[in-house]
Parts: sequence; structure tokens; C-alpha cells
Amino acid sequence: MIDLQRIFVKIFATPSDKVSQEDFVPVFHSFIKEKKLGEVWVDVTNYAHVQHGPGVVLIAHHAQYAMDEADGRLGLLYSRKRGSSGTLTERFSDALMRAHDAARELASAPSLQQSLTFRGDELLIGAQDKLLAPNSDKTLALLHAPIAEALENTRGKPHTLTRIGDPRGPFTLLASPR
Amino acid sequence: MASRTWKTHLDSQLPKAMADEINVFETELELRQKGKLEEKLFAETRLRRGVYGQRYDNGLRHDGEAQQPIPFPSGELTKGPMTMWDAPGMQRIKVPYGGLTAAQLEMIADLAEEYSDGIAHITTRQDFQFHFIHIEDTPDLMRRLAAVDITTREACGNSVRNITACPRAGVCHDEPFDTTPYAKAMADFLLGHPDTQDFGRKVKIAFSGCRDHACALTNIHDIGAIGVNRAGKRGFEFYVGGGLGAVPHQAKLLEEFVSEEELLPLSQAVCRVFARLGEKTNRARARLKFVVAKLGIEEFRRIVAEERKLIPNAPEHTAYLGMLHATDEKPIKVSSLLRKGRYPEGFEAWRSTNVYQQRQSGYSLVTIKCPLGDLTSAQLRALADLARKFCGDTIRTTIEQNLVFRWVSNDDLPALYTLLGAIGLNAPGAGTIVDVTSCPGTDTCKLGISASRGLAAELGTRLAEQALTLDKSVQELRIKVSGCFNSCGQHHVGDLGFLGASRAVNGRRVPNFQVVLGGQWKENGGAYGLAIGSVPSKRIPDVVTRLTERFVRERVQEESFQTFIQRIGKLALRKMVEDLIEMPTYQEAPGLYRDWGDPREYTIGDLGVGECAGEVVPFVEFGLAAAERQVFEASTLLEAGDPSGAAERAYRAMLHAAQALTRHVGAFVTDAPDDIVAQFRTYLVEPKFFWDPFAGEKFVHYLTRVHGTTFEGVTSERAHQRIEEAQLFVDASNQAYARVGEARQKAAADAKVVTA
Ligand code: SF4
Repeated sequence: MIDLQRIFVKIFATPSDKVSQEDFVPVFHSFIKEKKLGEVWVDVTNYAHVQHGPGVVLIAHHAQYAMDEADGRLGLLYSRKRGSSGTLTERFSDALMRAHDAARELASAPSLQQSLTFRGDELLIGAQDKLLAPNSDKTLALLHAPIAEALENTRGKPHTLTRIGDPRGPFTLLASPR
Repeated sequence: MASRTWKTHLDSQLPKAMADEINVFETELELRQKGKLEEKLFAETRLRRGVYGQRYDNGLRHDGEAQQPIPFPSGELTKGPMTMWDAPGMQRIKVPYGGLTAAQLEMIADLAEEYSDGIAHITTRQDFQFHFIHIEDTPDLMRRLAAVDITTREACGNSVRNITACPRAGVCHDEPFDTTPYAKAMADFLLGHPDTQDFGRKVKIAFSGCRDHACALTNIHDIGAIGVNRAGKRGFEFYVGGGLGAVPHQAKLLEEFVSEEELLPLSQAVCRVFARLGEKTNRARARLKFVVAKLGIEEFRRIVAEERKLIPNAPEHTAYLGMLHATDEKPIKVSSLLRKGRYPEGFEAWRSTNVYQQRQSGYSLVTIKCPLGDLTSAQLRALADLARKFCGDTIRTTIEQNLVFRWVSNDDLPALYTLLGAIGLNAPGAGTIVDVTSCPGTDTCKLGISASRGLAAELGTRLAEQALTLDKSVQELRIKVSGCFNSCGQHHVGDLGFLGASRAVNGRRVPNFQVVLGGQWKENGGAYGLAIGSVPSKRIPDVVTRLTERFVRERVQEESFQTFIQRIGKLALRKMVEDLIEMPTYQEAPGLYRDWGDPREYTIGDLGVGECAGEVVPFVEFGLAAAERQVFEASTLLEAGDPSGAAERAYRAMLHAAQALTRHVGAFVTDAPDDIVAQFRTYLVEPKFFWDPFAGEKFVHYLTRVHGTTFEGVTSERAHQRIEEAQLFVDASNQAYARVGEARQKAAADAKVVTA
């Protein structure tokens, strides 16, 4: 088994005129202050000035939570950087659960006044590790089973997985419930 | 769990010296984790590899009400004084003269995505840097950079930093010749050079192609070289002792004409003088500018000339002259005229500010304006594709935190503009008032006092909205923002410069910016601005509006902003902002007590201790630490079943320690083992510095016994013994180092008594 650490999950948000990137800055700061989500929090950083960038990012010791706008699609991007352990299925499951927990917290943040909703119909899941998991069919063959299992375990449904994205970029699967 | 690693994957592909250097760093990292390397030494070691601290790395963060500890998993382990091991840090990479290839952009994209926060940041020294990096990831990050010929060596620390140069070098109308190969030669020559390892602080060097236009700002550098032709011979006007920071100095002319042949040895001489005479304890006065100011340029010139005579001419001083064309660029498209016709929307405005017609007809240099110097991985990959399509490997970064594509065939400009638009990078206004430069400030820098990036983003957005209606005289102005007096945002040379400060009002802190007006970007940063007062951060946009409106209203003919500022005078300028300086109470305007982009109440409680230059660690200590590391490596080799290798490494450790000590006492010693042993005897053993009161010369024999022998066939037992001896030798070397120090102190005290 490969020791994959840098696993990511992006849960898409429904576009809304009522929320801007700047609105996430105080929300993320409050996550730090209120010690939410059981992470070791470090800081908040703002890349709203970059087109289709990571937006506002909440940095934790092991992971980052970004209101990512890659490809023009807003979503909560959870990127694990270190500290993943267990089987591959467990690692992907853990990432999925953490991303869902963060999305839930965000959606219920009082200052956002319920104007942010997340979509359940599709999400991105993958790995940012060019050595162990380049964005190729070979990686798909290697990771399809643990990812499918993790999705089914955490979301209760089987998913269709399609590999997408720049082959130079991270290994990325578009997952939608069957 | 055994997985493939970048080390096994890349080691054999990297140049040996680079691979070894990174492996050594990885070992040092391991030693520090085990508590076997002093934190101060490790800090300077990592800084010299571009691994830098970041805000909150002391493990504390203010949440707006109180400072809270960050419960990092590695607990009290540190990677430097008051720098927690787990705290994410910044990794800077060196990009000499800003030159990049498409493959390098792709690598930077990968690293930003995998190890950082998805953003690569262009600095005001033409470098790239990544933030929020785990220290354990740095060796792999370095290996992957090395695979595309990029080093992080000496990107921070008390060393020669990235050598900058005009991004137009080679295509500019004003230059007598392309300074690129000279900047490259200087970077190669000084990287890791023994004469650049013992500085009290950093040295910044820049190359410019002409005196009058800005681009490289040689006047603000420790060493600045401006290309000149004299009687058909190439050479440089050579400046020294410039610098910004809290006490800005304009560089002084050292030599009117330095020939190509003399460029490197003269720079070497300056470095040696700086290493010898520069301040080592008081960091605030440790830059070259203070040496030049203290001695006066005449005396400094004399000392450098004397030093130059002591440096034997060496082949590496001139070898590069045979390869001056190695950095020449070849266009990948034929030159062309821009065809008349319907252009994409916004193209003309973009072309008027972001396109420079090269000296080579039919080609343009295109500036890609990168907001706050930030690029995503997706943008970097797309830029690599565009470079391959339009200009090849002719990419450069600029000190205004942008990228340029050179050698774009003119008729390709509309297509390039459109494709840049698809990735959000075709904004006009490069090099104008909307193109605000900023250092990282409180976003990530430990020393940041105010949110320079927050202010820069706000100004950039507001001004861009008004760009079309702004008077032309205002459009041409430049805004530069620094988060503190270290001046990384180069605010001294902006028309409108802002410098982070803080003020106390009724027991609360208010983020401020000192307003610095009329700095000169032209003439290589020819004049520094005038400070007129400190204004709350949130009111700086009002300052900009007032000043620019008055400039448009009262400008006399073609008067420059600098002349206008001088004519109006400090008093009148101060009056213009006086009401903005007045502070309402917290209850009346709580927003003023917060900084840009930060909802927390403002505090300076998060200010850390700077690492810009690290601790000043005497060179000898690096040598002794390296010897220690080699002893450790010897044990690892023995464990791996290689007793011969282990015994040899143990011997190398002793040689290394002996060489470091011999250099420390001022002897010139080569890398040849015979020379090291002979000089070590003369300078350390005979004067009884390396001598034990009980064991006498016992430890010396550990070295001399194995010197000149072969290590083949050494048994494990014997290798083990050699390692033990090497450890004792290194311990004795540390004692000898202390003895030399005591002797020096005594000599100094005796000299005082005699003088008295
Ligand atoms: S100017 Fe100050 S705040 Fe800005 S990067 Fe330099 S040291 Fe940090």
C-alpha cells in the first residue's frame, strides 16, 4: 500500500450573490477562536484577489480548508497535508468526513445567514501527490476501490467516479451518487 | 509503510553536488529532531537554504482578545530560537536575474499545490516563495527544484541573496549590452563561495543596463553594477553601500569602470572586506552600507583595492567570458508586425501599459500583471503552455512582482492577450499606479506591523475601478507598501510609499502607515521619499485620493511628482493629512482599530523575532557542526553494513573539524588533506590550542594515524573505534575553538592595558 498523505475533497457550493469571499474571513477566524473541528489551527489567509484561486484559506497544522474557486466553481476544499494514517479507505473516509463537518459548520455560521448551501450531487476527491498518485489511469486503477468504498461508507451511496483535470495537476475524480 | 520517495526517485538524476547538499540538510534536520544539533546552528543552516520562519512560529497567536498557544504536536521541539518545529514556514527559492523556463514554472506549480497553500508568490527580489510549508517537506521540495536546476541555497540568511537584474536585459533600447550573463556569472561565482560565508548580514546585488531608468534599482543595493561601454570595451559602473531598511542609504560609486575581467574578483574583494569589517553583533548596523558610511567611500575604496591585490587571479574569475552567449535567447516565432484590424476588447489599454517594443524589431516584451505577486498552480501551468506557444523559455520575474514574456512576435499579441484573459492575467496597468507592490507584511511575516498586502489589495482594487478616468500624470505614479521598517516593499522609492507602523490611542493599538512621498523609481532608485506622518491604515486610500487630486490640480506643466512634492513642502503636505491622523475613540470608529482584511482587534502582540538574517553564527561553527554530522553519518553507514565507508567518513569528520579550526585562526588552507593536516599542526597543535591538559596530543593522533591510510577492508570493530575517536576529536575541536576565543579575549584585554 502506498503512504498517501495529501488527500483532498472539494464539496461544491451553490453560487449565491449574497456571499463573497470576504465574508469567510471572520467565519474562519471564529473557527480558530472557538477551536472548532478539532484541528490545530494556525491562521487565515486571503487570496480573493486571484482569479479562480483558493479564495480564503483556513490553515491548520495537518490540513487546509479553502473556499476554493478553481475552474470558477466555488466549494469547500479540504486538503490534508500530513498526518494521514490507516488504510487508504480510512484516509479517504477521514478526509470526506472532515470536509463534510467543515461544510456543515460553514453553512450554519450565523454571519453567513444561511446563504451558503453545499451540493450533494457531486464532489471532487483525489490526491495532491505527483510521485505516488499522478493524474493517470494507473492511479485510477490503484485508488478506485478505496475511494469508492470511502464514499459509500461516508455518504451511504455508491458513486460514479470519473477522472478529470490536467494530467500535470493533482489526481482528481469527479464523484456523483449513482 | 515503504513508499517511493523523491529521494530515491531523483537522487541519481540530480547534479551530485546538489544532491549531496540536500542530503546533508536532511541529515541536519534529523539531528535537530534528535536534539543533536544546536537550535541556533540549525536555524542559520536552514535559513541558508531558504527555509524561513513565518508569523506565529513561536507557537502563539493573538485571537483579538488574548494570545493563545498553538498546541503543535511536536511540543517544545524547536527549529531555531523561539521557533517551534511544527510551525509552518516559508520556503524561498532563488531565481537569478528572474530567468525562468516553462518547465520551472510547472515545477513551481506542483510544489505550491502539494506543499504550500496552492499559491506561489513572486517577491520584490525576483524570487518565488511558498508559505505554510512543513519543515519535513523541505528536502523533497529542494530535490524537485534541483531537478529543474533551481537552488534554494543562500536564499535567506547572512549570505549573498538572489542577484537581480533588469527584466528587459537583452531586449532593451537603452542598454549598451545584455547584462544577463554577467548577473548569472556573479550568481554562480558567489554561491557558496568561502568568502561569502562569514557575513554579519545579507548582501544584495543588482545589475542594470543603464543609469537613467529604473528596472534594477542598483542604488538601493549593497553592490550595484551598471553596464557601460568604454572605448568599445564592456565594463561596469560599480556601486556599493546602498540599502533601504530603517536607515536608507544611496549607493556610492566605487569604480567608474570595472572591466569584465575584474567584475568578479572586485566583488569578491568587497565581500571579503565586508566579512572582515562588517558589524557582527549589532544586527541593526550590520549591512555593508554602514561600513561604507563609517569609513567613507575613499577609505573603503582603498581597503578594497588592497584586498583585491591579495586575491590571486583565478580561472573562475574569467572563465564565464568564454560563455557569454550561453544565456542568449532564441525567439520561437518569426518577427512580425501587428496587423491592423479589430482587436479584442481591452487590448489597446493593455498594450499601452503592458507591452514594450523590444530593440529587436517585430518582437515585444509583455508584462503579465500578477496581483500582489500571487499565482495559482493552474495559472502557472497555463503560463507554461503559453510560453511554449509564444515565446519559449524567455520568462522572467520582475521586482514589481510580475512576470514578463520576452520575444513575443508582435502579431501574436492579441491572441496572447485573449489567452491570458482566460486565466485572469490580462489586466492592464503594469508599472502604473494600479500595479501596487507589497511585501508580505502581517499576512505571513513575523516582523510585520501592518497589513501591507491588505492595503495593497484595497488600493489596487479601488484604483483599477477608476483607472480609465485617472489623469495620465497620476496613472504613471507608483505605489509601494512595506509592512515594517525593513522596507521589503521598497516604499522608499515609490512615488507614494507606505510603511507599516502602529500607534497607541487610549490604551488601544491602531494599525497605521507612515506616508512617504516622492521617492524616485527612475535613475535606479535615485532618491528616497519624504515621510510626512503616520495615518491609520483604513484612511490611507483617502491619503492617496487627496494627494493625487492635488497633484493633478496644481501640477506645473510637466512637473514630476517628486518635484511637486518638494515644491509643496513637508509642512503643507502634513497639513493635508492632519485631520486623517486625528483618531476618534474606539466606540466611535471601531473599524479603525482593525487592519485590512483582519476582523480581529489590532495588536502588535504577534510580532516575532526576525529571521531575515538569522543569528550571526561564526563560520567555524558551521564547520564543527558539519564534522559532527559526518560522525553521525559514519554511524549510519556502519549500521548499513559499510564499515569501510564508515571509517572513511569518520576520518573526513576529523579533517573537516581541523580545516574549520585552521581557517578560524586565519590560516589559508586548501581542501587538500595533506595541507589541512600540516597547517592544523602549525596553527592549532603547536601553539597548544588543540591540546588536552591530561591527554596531551592524544586526539591529534586520532587524525594523523589514519591520515594517508586506506579504508578498504576495515572491520566493523575497527570502524566503530574510528567513529568513537572521531567523536572525541570533534569534541576536542570544540574545546580548541573555545581556547582560541579565550586567547583572543586575553590579547584584547592586554592591548587595552598597554594602551591605558
Ligand atoms: S518589510 Fe517588514 S513586514 Fe514586510 S516582509 Fe520585510 S520584514 Fe516583513
